[in-house]
Amino acid sequence: MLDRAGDLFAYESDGLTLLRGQASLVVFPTSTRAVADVIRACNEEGVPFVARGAGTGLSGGATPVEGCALIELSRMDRVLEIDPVNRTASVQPGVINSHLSELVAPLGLLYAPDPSSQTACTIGGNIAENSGGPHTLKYGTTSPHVLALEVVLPDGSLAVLGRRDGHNHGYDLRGVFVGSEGTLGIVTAATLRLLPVPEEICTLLASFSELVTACQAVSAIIAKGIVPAALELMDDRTIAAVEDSVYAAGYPRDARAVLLVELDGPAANVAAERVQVEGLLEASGAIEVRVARDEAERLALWRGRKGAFGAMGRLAPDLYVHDAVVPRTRLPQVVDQINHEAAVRGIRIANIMHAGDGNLHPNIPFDRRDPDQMSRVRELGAEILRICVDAGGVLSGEHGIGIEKRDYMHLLFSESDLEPMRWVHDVFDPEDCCNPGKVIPVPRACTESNPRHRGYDKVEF
Amino acid sequence: MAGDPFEAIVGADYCQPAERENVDGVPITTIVRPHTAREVAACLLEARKGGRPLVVRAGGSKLGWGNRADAEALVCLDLGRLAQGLELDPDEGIVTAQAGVAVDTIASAAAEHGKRSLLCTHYPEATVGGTIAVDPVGLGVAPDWRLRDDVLGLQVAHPNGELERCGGKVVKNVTGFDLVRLYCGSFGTLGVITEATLRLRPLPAAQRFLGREYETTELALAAARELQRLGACALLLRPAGQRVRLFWVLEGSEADVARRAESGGGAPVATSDWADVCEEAADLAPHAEDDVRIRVSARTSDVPTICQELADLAGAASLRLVQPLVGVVLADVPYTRLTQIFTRAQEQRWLVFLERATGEQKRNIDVFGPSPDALPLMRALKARFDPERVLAPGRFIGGI
Repeated sequence: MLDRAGDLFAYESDGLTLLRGQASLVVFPTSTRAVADVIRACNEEGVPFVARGAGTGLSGGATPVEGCALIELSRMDRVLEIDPVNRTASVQPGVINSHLSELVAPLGLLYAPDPSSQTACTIGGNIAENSGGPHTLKYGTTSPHVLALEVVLPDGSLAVLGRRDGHNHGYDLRGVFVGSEGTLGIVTAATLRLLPVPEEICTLLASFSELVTACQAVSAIIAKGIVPAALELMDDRTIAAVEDSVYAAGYPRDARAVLLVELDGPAANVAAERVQVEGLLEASGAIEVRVARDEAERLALWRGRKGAFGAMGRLAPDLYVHDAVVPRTRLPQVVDQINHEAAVRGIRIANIMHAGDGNLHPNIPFDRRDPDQMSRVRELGAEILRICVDAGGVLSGEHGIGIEKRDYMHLLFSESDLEPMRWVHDVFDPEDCCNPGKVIPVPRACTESNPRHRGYDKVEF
Repeated sequence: MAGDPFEAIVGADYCQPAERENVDGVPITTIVRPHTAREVAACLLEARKGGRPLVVRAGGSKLGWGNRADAEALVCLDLGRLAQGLELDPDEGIVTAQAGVAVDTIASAAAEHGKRSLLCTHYPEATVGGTIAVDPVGLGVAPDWRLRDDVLGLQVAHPNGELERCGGKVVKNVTGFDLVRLYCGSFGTLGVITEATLRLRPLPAAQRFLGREYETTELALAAARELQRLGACALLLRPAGQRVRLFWVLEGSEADVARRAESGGGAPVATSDWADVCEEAADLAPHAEDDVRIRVSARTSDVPTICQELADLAGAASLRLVQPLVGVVLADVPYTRLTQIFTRAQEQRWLVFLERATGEQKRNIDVFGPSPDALPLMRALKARFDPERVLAPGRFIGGI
């Protein structure tokens, strides 16, 4: 347990550094029972609690609520069982994402969800946020890969949600728990689905003289009915940041955008798709299409992509990693609009996109010591959400809502859309003690009448 | 039905008394046919105010699934008129349809654009809303995916008279709680689905249906394991007289399918179309009048044991259909054996669902088998979503 101010400083935010909070203590349980004991103690003392994995989340899901107990789960890092016949793994929440895939690779298996932070982020955090990653395009976000969960509910009791065989038995509580951002309870064990490692993997890098042309190439591939394992887009600012960093992957510095396309499956299928994709990229105006010749070259291309967020540390002291989704056919127009809004505010963003899913990450480098810049960054963040929702999109594709986007939920949902979410929350956490204030905005009527929600509780009289 | 409050919502022509219709022996008094999602929501509010429990149907293909309703009489909300809207965006790879649209209509529309949906098609009269509401393990060709994984967004009507939209019309979305998955497979007991948006997947470049015959179930299951390693994307095993037939689907490029088509052993069986095989399977008539149909679900590695134990308990002929890739066994067993089967399944952590039985046979039994530990949470959700218990009361697990 940690409770000294100096120690707590490291836990005052997750990957969303724009917003911070102060826990009263941090605890590091090693068992389900210890988690339950901590929660019961919190309930007795009336202290809210917040779960945290590696703290790589980007929407403030693990940001401490003032005065809370932060339950840090990184010591619950055991792999409990691997079942190669049924292709499942049971793990504790603190297992690091990439460690699981490394562990099962000798069995010819993999764990598909692969967030960019996969060498640091934990399975528990992935489940809380329903995390995605580049290969979501073919394999989906975390939810389809979670078969069953052992959870400690906000009253300290244990529950098992879902089944190890993945079959339905009653309401899909597993499904609603995944992505609930730690507001319905804390995962203490999970049974996950593993997939066979594909027979063949082929990675292509296409460069373009315009960002919009690269977006059009994405639409052309999707419209053709090809489902690549990944279809990632990076703009020139991202390329420069990567190439100037230790993650340098040999991306062409003179390109305005590059597309990373990965095809996987049986060798004959991949060969046929590769021919089609090369043709589509060239027809869409690609300046160059390069195919990774061996595994080392393939991994280098991915090292650049996965290290891109880290490489952006070179651009400014702080980085706001935005996340929104639009219909993928609307990408070219939306990217244009976002870049325009950024330019109007004197901000130059760096774009990374899981383009095949329509999932944008307009990254905003900033310096939090400059109040004027902070204000423009926040304004641009909000404008990006409006643009995406207006284009038929949604607020998040893989980072979640947390506190970052909670108050923008009304852009997408009406009160009658939000009310059933509150019903679910009330059933799991009637005392509102489990990561309170995240994800779901308070009802508008309450906001108008409740002094606390109008910020008056922060005003000194 | 002059004076029936539902008439004011849907019009006299669409609010009619039912003639000797029932669900599991519980009489249906009135059939109400709303035309819009708003009318559905208004009907639910009326049912709540009037204390009139209801069941929902469209195609009616799965109306017999579930427990006997905990009601003296039921109103039937027929969504057959909610079948006008069908919006297919081939470039985006999604389709949005009203709940009453037939699954086959979606399949045909998608195929015109080289796409398909995970909505299973082996019940020809099935509709979008009904299929999502029960989230069945389909006989389709994507064993690693469930239908719920491809439902991107829903519009749902609630007994408070409100319409809710959850999810969206994009292929990736983690905005707020994932209520889409909560409604999938909830048998219409939390709300009534009025519209759905689904992901479409591309049709493969080549597809081949194959069938072989084997001496025993064991031999067929051994062949199925080999075919799974070869990447067969659907497998169906059916007894045929004294022998056993195995049907499977291969998909991919022409070259890849041709390469894998030679495997499987056994004696070749002529096959026409996968949909025909599935349809035939769904229509299997019970052997004896007092037989009930059960669906046993478990891990794929449990399938051989399940087949063996069912054969021991109810005879080799009890097995009707086996899906080795998804861990499902369909069997027709004597009603008197049910308690024994439920007990054995609980010991082995298998699931048993009583899929076909008479209303009388369903009395005093939960067709979903022994309830999971999370039942109190499920009850609490039901109480919050449907406090007056008007949505198919008693029909879901644990009498929810």
